[in-house]
Amino acid sequence: MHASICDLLADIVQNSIEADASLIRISFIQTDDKLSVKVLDDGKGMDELQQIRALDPFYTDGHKHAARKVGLGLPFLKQMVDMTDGTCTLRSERGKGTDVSFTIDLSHIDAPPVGDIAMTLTGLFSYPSDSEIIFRRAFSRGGEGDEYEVEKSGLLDVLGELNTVGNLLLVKEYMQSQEAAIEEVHHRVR
Amino acid sequence: MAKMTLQELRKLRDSKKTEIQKRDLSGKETQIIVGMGTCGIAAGAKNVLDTFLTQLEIHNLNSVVVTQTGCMGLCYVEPTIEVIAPGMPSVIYGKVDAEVAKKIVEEHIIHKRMVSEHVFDRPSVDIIKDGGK
Repeated sequence: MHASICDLLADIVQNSIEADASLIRISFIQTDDKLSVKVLDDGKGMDELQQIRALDPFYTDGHKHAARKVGLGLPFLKQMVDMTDGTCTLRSERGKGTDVSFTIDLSHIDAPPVGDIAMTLTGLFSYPSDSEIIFRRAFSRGGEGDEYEVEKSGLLDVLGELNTVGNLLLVKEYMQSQEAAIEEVHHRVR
Repeated sequence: MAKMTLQELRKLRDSKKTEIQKRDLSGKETQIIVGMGTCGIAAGAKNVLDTFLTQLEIHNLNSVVVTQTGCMGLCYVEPTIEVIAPGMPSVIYGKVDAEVAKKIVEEHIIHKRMVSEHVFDRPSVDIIKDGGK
């Protein structure tokens, strides 16, 4: 099982990258203890039967590892929402794209920790793929809140490339500064 | 703390760039690929990535290319990484935690010595010590 919500997110976004998406929109919105996450891509999509089978841990489309009949990404997500009375929906259309959304109550005793958002996004931005990734993050509690949006293309524009150690550390620092502002609100309104 | 803007990021990059240019650095040809499939993520590949970034910076190897890939088919020894370095065979290392990542930077990348006990693919099994564990 995945240790954090960020690990689940990384897994879902990796699916989008492998589905040849050119645009991946991620929203990561927290209101009080309710977190809702959405990953929307314009990748190759799945037909109805595949969507049902994708939640089966012993199903994979078999292109990558023909002999290994497991595919645990979405089953892990389903397991986590089942454990925590959350919800998850999978909508997809062949040739159009896929929308994976889930909600979770972070105060649920079995809810995993959110994890390291800055590092997770830094990792996702470093994939050698042409996919644009737009990450929108918002947090609000008791009328106070903060939000930010980061586009992979914006970072590429500033840094030139996103795969060298030096630049990835800059991306990480940039993401951490965005998260620090949210963390500040988090502490203030606790 | 105020959120960094893209302009500030650009400035920071420019200042680091001059700093980097001042040092005579190697590492441009070296590439590290971290397996980030479901198996890699579950085994802690994100921490491994973070450790590589930190360690490579400590050794002024800021031009090393670090990218990711999905599952490399060695789920049983995750986290796995591949290292492509000049003068060395490309190697896939398995069971790479923060400690091992540090060792790979110091041994494989800097001193050009393989970390044999973590080699899981390439070169062939006959030269891996202890049967690759």
